Amino acid sequence: MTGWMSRRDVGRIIGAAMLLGVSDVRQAIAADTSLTARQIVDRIKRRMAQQGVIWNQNGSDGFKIGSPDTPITGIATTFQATHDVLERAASSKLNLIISHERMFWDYQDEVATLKEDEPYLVPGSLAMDPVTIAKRKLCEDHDLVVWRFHDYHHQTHVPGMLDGKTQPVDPIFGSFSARLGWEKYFTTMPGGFVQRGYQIPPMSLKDVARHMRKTLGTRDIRVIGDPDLIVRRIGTTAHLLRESLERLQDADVILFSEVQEIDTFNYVRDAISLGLPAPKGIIAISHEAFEEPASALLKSWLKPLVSGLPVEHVPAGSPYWMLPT
Amino acid sequence: MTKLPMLTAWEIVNRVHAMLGQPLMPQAYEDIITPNSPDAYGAIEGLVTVDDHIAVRGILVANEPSVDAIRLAIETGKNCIITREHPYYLFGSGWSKGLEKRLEIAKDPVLEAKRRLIEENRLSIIRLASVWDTARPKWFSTALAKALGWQPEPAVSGDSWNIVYCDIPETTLAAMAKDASARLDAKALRMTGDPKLRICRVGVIHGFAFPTLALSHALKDPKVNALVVGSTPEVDYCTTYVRDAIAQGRQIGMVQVGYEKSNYPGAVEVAEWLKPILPGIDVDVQPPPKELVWLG
Repeated sequence: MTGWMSRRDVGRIIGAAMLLGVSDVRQAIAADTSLTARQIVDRIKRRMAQQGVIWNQNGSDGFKIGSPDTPITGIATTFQATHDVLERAASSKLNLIISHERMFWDYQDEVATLKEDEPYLVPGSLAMDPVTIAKRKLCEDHDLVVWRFHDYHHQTHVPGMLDGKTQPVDPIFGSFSARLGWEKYFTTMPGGFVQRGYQIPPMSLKDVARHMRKTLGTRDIRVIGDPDLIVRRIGTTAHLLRESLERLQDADVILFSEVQEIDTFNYVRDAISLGLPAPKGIIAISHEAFEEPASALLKSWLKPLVSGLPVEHVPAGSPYWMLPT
Repeated sequence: MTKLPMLTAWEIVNRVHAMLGQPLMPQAYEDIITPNSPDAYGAIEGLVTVDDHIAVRGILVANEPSVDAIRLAIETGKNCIITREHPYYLFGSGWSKGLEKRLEIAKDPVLEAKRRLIEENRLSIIRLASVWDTARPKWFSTALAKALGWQPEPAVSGDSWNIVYCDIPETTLAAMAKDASARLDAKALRMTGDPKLRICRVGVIHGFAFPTLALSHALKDPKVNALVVGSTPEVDYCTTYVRDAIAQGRQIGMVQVGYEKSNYPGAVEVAEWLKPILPGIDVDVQPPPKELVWLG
């Protein structure tokens, strides 16, 4: 943004400067009118440091395509930088895409090296695959920069409710709880990989599923368990069976996002067939349904940091549709 | 009267391997522990529960050695189950990395109860997945395609991918999904792509369609306009790849019919294949399992 600025623009920039601890406001005004991707990410990291989250190493996070020194005309926040999201971002001149999930499927998103994940049991490479090439070309043609914000996104905090008290929460859970209308039920569940869940008023499993279908706006709610099971305690977890064993033992049902059928489904079926006290069921929703709301919330978290730039949420959308019942 | 000799589980494993032209199993089961399974629960594949010297009275073929399948075997007098899956949820490769240790550390009650059931009833469970797939890579996908009412085209020599290709009467993605739902008695199918997309050539991949290269390979055929798979990952790997291909203009759709549902037709064929090579042993296939999930 160059040239004339309104008093409101100046006010916003002063606010961003104060938020980031920038003492020279003139410097802030000059800097805010032309930010690179790297500078924006630095502001994100500084804001996180103010929340007590220190960026030590990238892990899965970091720049995935495009030069970090690209001047940015707008920011898109999204659950996943799919080709469709990138096209929509480009057409809206949002050339920094902050994506929660990875963009090149099997890769660690190291486009320069195209290093595949391990183990990689099938010979071949996606490097010259036409889908890869077209996605790279889209980014290069529109000077798009994709920055993955995953591990550290989970460590940031947003205002929310936990154990009945207003307090900072993980943005993924905070936004998902809000989407369900279950902020007041969001609770700590000690032990296990994910120590959060929902303690709800007694409700049948079929009513829990119906509630999720209505609030999440999707029919992709797959359930294992007796529909008439009375549920009070819904555990949450990540995606894999090995991450979920403790929680499967101490909740009525577990909410999974993107669970794989190859092991977890069989484990739960066996538990039910054996008549064990737990687990009694699971609810499987898509990964996108669980985490997209956080990318929408990220827009509000980010806006004050980059007051001169448009920031929009560009949803990846549900990957699936279901047959009518 | 001379009776047919009884076979032990190990002898059955070796006969299957011999008939499929695959290397024979070593005598000691410990020798077939794969790098992914150094655990106390035996190998990822092969004879995974240890009762290899007992004569096999009968075999139940069940892709998933579930508690229900185990009980069925016991009720019907069978003491051997031939499966695609591991009884203790160790699917294999990176998906199971660390799971066996976690199950052990957690002293997992589901695992413990299931293991007691297997051991108290002296069941031999033989997991033979990769041996089928190596010898007959398109066997299970062919069975699935036929169950869907299609005739896969003959494989090209040297093609070891598990994908089969079928030209079908032109239909839409939605209509094809609805037909698959009826044939497989499955309601929780998940589709990606335009419901109105016209479909006339399908790539069928049974089971877990993974990694992305498998779908990339299927889409090398420019005429393929639908993929029917058992299940496939959503965010990392395959579904996103298909979504990206669609956004780039490829006229393609994908139907996930469910992992277990997609593999059942193959189990039926395995049972039929086993019967003549194991004379005197009662071989049955588990009845089709009911769809495990219901939709909210």
